[in-house]
Amino acid sequence: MASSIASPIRETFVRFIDALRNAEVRVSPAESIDAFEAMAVLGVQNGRILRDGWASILAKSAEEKTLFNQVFDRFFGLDEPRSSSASQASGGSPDDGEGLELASNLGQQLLAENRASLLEQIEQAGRTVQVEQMQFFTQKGLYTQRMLEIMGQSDLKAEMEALAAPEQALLEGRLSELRGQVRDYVERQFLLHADSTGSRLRAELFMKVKLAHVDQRTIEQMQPLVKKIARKLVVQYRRKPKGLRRALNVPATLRANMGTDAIPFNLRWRYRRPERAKIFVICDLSGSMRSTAKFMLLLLYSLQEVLPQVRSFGFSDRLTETTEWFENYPLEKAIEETIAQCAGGSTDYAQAWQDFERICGREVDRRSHLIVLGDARNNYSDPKPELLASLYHRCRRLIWLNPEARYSWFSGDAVMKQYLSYCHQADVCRSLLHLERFASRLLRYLC
Amino acid sequence: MDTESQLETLRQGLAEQDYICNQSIATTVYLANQLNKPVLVEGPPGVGKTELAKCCAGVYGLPLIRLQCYEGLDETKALYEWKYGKQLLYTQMMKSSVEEMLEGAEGLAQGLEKLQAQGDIFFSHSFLEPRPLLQALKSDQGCVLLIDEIDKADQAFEALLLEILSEYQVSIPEIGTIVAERKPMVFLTSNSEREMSDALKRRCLHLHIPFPDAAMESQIVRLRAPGVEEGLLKQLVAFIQQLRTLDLKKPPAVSETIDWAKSLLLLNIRALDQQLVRDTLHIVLKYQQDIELVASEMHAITREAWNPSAFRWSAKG
Repeated sequence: MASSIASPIRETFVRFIDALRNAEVRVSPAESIDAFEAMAVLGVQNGRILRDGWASILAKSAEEKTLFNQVFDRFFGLDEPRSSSASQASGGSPDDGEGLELASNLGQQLLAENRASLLEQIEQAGRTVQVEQMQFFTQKGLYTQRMLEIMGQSDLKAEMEALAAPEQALLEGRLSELRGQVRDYVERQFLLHADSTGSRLRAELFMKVKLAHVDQRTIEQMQPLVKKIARKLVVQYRRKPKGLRRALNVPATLRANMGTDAIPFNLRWRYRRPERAKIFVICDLSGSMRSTAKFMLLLLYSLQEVLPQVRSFGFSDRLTETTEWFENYPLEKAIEETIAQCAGGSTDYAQAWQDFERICGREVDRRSHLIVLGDARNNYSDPKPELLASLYHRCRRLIWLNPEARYSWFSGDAVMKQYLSYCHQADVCRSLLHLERFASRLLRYLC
Repeated sequence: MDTESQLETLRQGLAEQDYICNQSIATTVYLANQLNKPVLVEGPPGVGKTELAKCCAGVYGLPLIRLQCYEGLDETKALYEWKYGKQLLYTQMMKSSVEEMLEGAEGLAQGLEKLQAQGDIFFSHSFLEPRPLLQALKSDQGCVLLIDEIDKADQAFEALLLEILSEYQVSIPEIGTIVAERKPMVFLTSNSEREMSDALKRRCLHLHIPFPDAAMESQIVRLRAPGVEEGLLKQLVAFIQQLRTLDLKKPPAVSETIDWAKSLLLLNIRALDQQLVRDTLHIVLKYQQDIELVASEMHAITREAWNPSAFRWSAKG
């Protein structure tokens, strides 16, 4: 049934699916095949019926359905721009060009004011220049120009030189109208096919940029990206698995096998419930670390749903607990408050461990995970690794995240070497990509 | 017949079964029937998801097989189970025939060969207890299979459904593959308590049934609670529509509207006022905190809903 559909319809359909994917509606090849068959069943006469039918096949959630409706209306021109009213407003009627003989095809069409065939010509020109390959908004002017050239603008212009003034004005008017229509068409195609390419590239760049070097404006632009990462991780780790299998659950096994006279064909097990982990985040808030710390805290607190108990601390020369600010204020304000209160002094790691021990040393036990975010630069003072060692032996895991590259971990006043033996895991963390990797490993370990 | 008239026929058929639906629901059901694909129906509780499956069974004249899902539902309750008791009983009763069969066999190996030559008699269709899913596949005139509240079942159950939903077949290790001769029409309903897996969504057509608008809701109530006067109907529907705009824990759904209409009919009430609404509010709202919220803002809500410019509001007669 589907093979009897003509090939231009097939091409248009493929372009439509492309536009959908561009609008971030995830359409799999199987779904697109189903939609194509549905077109054979529903017929293409009634747009509304086709839209409803395709919506049930291609858009599988409420948000996707809204996006789908937008793209459908835009692609099939159902949100028609004002060009129809513009042609009435320009004055002049089809009779004005009476008696004027023009050689160029475009000139004849403009005189005849045949809207339908003009639109068809525009679409034909669009297909010829492959307007769906457009990627950036800066290319819109270029494509408009090319399309007008293909439609024969230069020939028409040459002809118009030889005409008398009133006829020239008439044609000029109609030509500028046509230019407006072509511009609208290119704009629509851009929104359908290219709009998200730019933002996708930008997102990729943001993931890789070094967090220490971003300025304030970029930070604001990157925050939605962090939220997106957090959402993805939350959805992935939301379902809690049962836990590790332990001993045989004898009563349940017997109950399940009553039918077979208690011969244990089907076994039932006891499962160990995964324990609620406690997370302690200790952030070094000296100058270079601030942006990284900001993003780290932003990410961890956006993961509230899967990481319920996160206690955070910030330090420069003294360590302070910052958890209550995150509980009471919105995220951005809490981060500002943290930096205002804790940062400023000269970094002292030994003091930080002492303060941490004093504040919540008692709560560090086998269920706690410690995350330290710092560059381990101690300004040539005594690092006292034995304090870190005592924390290391008591906690479940101690993870050190260092924003510097590995080759500079042991340079200058860094005491990473001494701290390294008391870390279960030490990683470089200088971009959103690293943060995401770290968060997903952490969640995988916890669940 | 072209598509539009087919859809019109379907809508009228559903209306005869007392189910009012909009264009997109009819289109999806029609498409599912033609393409033989299951339909995943999502929406708030009480909008008529289960009703849709029942009414479709009525329209197409097919029997309805229902599987109610819950946490911990597994193969034995949903797909099939062996009749262990029967197997054991038959083995005991047919001991003598087994002895006859083994006559003449010398040694263990020959005896085993003779037994195996009989095939797996005790694992055949007569000892198989089909559960709803297998019943649906085996029914010869086709049927409508309703898998209700699939979001309550767990991931493992969804994985079980995948083969059934795409190929309409199931493999039983001892017997073989059972393929459906007439593919059943499958409806899966979900309250969106959790996200369905992508593999399941991909195999189904997705239908979202929202709360109906005022016109459709009036039609539904007229059909389901006949005898309600027009004036009372308008007041009812306007009030419920206004309630849905508030931030309630459980917004009232169509089933609550119908219940309210039927109760008012029983109580012989011809028109509503604030006191009557307060008295009958528990039919519409199911949570105490919602009732308290609405009772405290009753004046504002009724003024908004029963705006005299919208329609005439007659006093209680």
